Amino acid sequence: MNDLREGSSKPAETHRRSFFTTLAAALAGIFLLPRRLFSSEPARERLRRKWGMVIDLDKCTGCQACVVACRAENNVPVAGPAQTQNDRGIFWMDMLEVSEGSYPDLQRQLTPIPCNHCENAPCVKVCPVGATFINEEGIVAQVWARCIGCRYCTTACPYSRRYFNWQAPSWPETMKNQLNPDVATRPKGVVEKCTFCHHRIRRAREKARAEGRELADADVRTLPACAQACPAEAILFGDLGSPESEVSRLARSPRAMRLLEDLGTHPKVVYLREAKWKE
Amino acid sequence: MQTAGVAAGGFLLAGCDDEDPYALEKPAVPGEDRWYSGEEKWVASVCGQCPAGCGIRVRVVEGRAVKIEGNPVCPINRGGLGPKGQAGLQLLYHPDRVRGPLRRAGPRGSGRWKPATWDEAIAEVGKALTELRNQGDPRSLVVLDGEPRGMVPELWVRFLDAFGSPNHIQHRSTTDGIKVLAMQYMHGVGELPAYDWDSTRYVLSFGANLYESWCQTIHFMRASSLMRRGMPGRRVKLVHVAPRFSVTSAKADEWVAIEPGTYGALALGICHVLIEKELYDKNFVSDHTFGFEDWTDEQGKAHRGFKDLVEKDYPVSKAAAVTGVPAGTIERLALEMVEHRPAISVADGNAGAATNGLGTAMAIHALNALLGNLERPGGMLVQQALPLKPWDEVERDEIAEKGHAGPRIDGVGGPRCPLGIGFIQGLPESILSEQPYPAKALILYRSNPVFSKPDGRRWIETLQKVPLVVSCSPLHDESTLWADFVLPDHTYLERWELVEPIPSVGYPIMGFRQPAVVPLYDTMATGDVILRLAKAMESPMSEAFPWKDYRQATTERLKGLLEVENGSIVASKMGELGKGLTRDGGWHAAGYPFEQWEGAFRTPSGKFEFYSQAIAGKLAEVFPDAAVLEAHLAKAGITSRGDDLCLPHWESPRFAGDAAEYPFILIVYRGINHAEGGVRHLPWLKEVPLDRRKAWKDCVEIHPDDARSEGLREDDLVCVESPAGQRSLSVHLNPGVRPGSLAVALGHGIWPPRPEGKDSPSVMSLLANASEPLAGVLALQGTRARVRKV
Repeated sequence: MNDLREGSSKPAETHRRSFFTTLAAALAGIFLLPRRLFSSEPARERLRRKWGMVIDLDKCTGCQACVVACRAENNVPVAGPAQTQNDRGIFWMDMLEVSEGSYPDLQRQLTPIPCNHCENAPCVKVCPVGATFINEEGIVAQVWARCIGCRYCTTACPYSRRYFNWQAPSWPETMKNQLNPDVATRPKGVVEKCTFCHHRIRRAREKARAEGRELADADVRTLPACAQACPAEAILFGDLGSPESEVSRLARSPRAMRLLEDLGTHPKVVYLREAKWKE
Repeated sequence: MQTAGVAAGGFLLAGCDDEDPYALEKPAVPGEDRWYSGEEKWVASVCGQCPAGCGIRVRVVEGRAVKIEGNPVCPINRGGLGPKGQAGLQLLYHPDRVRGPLRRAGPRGSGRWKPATWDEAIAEVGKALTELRNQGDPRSLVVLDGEPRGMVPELWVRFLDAFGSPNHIQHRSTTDGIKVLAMQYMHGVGELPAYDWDSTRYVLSFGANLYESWCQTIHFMRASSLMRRGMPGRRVKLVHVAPRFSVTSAKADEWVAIEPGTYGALALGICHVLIEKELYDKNFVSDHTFGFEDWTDEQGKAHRGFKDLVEKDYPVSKAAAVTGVPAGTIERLALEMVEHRPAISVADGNAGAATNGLGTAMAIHALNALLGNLERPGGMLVQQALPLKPWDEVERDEIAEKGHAGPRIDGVGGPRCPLGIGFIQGLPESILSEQPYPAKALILYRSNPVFSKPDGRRWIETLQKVPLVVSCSPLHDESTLWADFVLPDHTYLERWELVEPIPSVGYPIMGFRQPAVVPLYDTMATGDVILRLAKAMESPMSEAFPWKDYRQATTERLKGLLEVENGSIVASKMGELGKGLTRDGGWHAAGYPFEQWEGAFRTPSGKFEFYSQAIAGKLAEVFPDAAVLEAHLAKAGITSRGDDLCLPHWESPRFAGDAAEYPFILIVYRGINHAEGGVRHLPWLKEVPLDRRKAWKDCVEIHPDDARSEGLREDDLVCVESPAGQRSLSVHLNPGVRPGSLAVALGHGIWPPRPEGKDSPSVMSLLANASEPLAGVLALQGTRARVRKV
């Protein structure tokens, strides 16, 4: 069962399974409890926060480091050959590809898409049990344990950013070692989605509090796993609620756009259009 | 996020004697003694998923590696990390890893193994090798080494040096060989070039998939971010020339479609415009180049210059007709490059590898010289050597001297491969025919030729023919299946190592790999295996390796870094250096010294050589008789003669297979998630083809019009047949594939390997084993194919 060699890490390994179960329960619990108990920032300040992301499609190289980094950070299960054929692979951060034209006059748009964390989120409105909600920092959150798996939200989301767990997550025994202890795994029958790496935000906030200061732009700039991995620095994270933040500045760029803006969902993921070289 | 673990990473000074070369102790694996509940550490190290050598930081929680991030202090990736690097955890924790040394327990290929202890395995292999030496036949040992540079390759060279075998055979002739050879013959430097992307203003890529898979992909992505958005009001133009519309094509500012195998003609067409309009950098050409104008040698023989060749043989109209790129576009590209200097033209080892590969790579390189961008900011640079202290020379005994006197088994330096640096794809022929001599022992290090080389089935026969085959693979791959011993390597997250990344920025960079976790299984770093093998053998092998272990052998070399005053870590004592290295996961020099012409070109003329005197010399050496050379060229179908062979030139590419029988040209490319196949067992990478439904499938891409005429639809299962083999693949209609061609990604393949069935072991085995006739580089783009619905 446990393949690690004799050694020091053994004591931790032997009760890993129970550790994960406890951790999962604990994290789910933390999600449910009033956030201010755990928060380090004053409530007033948190209310001001509006986390958002800017993705520069001109810098993006379509490499999918963000996609793999997200799966690694958030314990997203591998779907496997059979489930992939049924389009049941789970990608909190996905790469949308649109091609058009005919040889040799071709165009191809590659767009990394995480959850848009809409201010007016259609998924939240349809959830019959309140499993999904917009938290005080603007993150569209999901309580795994509360989800009943009705999949209204996956249908309602115009960006298809929600995924249903058609099967229980599974990993080869040895690969369970790589699971991130900060993120709970999700059981079969619930819907899961991008959290803007909420656990990382919480960590950064605790660190800032320990240092006796407020969260700064530099603390969160590449905070989510996708942004941190991006080799081209195309993904930036920050507070859209503060007009001086880098993301706010970029969101005012003439290249800025949001996906399906006319639906009135008010996404908090802002894209910067691709440009081409001009003389 | 803290770096506490790094600081605690334990460097012990063996006393404070700075003269002790081994004062730098092996860093302890964090938490080796014990972990506290919830304890977390970050380990700075180096990625090992490709030779690029990106700096990484590994998050370790209670002894488990749970995430890999890029290391911001590494100048190669500056904090970013690609998908393969992210997936390193799945290599570490892969269920199919070999868990200890194995000895074959059934017939070869049966997959039946018996566990052995390290002592037994090393003793047995050592004994067999000693016998080879005692029989006076040391050259019959062959080492296939898939790592392009670094300490382990150097140890293999040393091992073979003392042993008496010239057969350290690397993979370059099937990967980036043409680029290395163009550098060797024109620059006098047998290494890939580096580029100063941060200051360039224009990039013309000849098939180099800069955003997907070439030499330094992540480094280029980081640079490209700056090239596009880092300088207000200024954008570096990226033009990508390729037959297939790839991600790089899509992301480039301009994509130019071209006929397969004709990059050289395009480069020479652009050179023609520069020369005709006198737009080339005349000062650079006159001061720092050789062979541009016609010249006369010491014997009074007149030679043709590059200028004459380009003016007469490569008019723009010819280049346009050959490449399918309109003459207007060729002229425009030339003018844009001149107007936006410094401009870089980049060749690619994969896309350019056709039967005309060397001339092509030289033509693309010559374009850089015409633009005067060599050794200048924003141009093409020569990777500087790491200032490591060299080991003492090996003293060869009589047996070793005798072994080294003979030819290499792959025929490099002979008529089979007169200009090459390796000819691994010729090994099956050599070994099966026992010409020039039989191979009696073969060691595979990071090498899986059955999968990654053409003629996979023939490689299986080849491995079976060799009496002793040892594999150092950490996984049961296609070639390991046929081995007698498996001496499994650690993965890169478990070992201590100095890493020499392939060229990137030009100035010296060294990666410092530290174990992130305690080795999971009973595996051993191959560096240690080499040392222990040598020690298990008789004199003089054991004397050539006086060190206690791999760590000590390489630590000694770090002394060289103490003498560098402007490095990222300035230290006068090994202990200080060690602290810095554990913290940063590497060392690099301050910057590149531009325009240091003294010693920049290590050619016979001391200048950049349009006319390569080294090529002329080698051809004269291998073919002293002009008639023999003539016969060789005629047989190989080469039309160029005389001076043209030493100049950048273009030959019509040849494709194996009859056009009537095999109507499609097979284009092979490297995608970002597979590269050449060393990572195809990692599920994360299996699931990220851009079309998600293609996950876990091996596909052949075909243009929709061609598919219609062949009666094929998306997802149909077809058999792709070439003169060399066949393989079942799933059809993917891709309007970006040039009509008349099929595109297949290298590196795909099933995992775990299945040796049975009719299918060739990999996509590579679809390729005919045809090479550049003089340079001996595999013609990756040199095969025709057809599709048959099954």
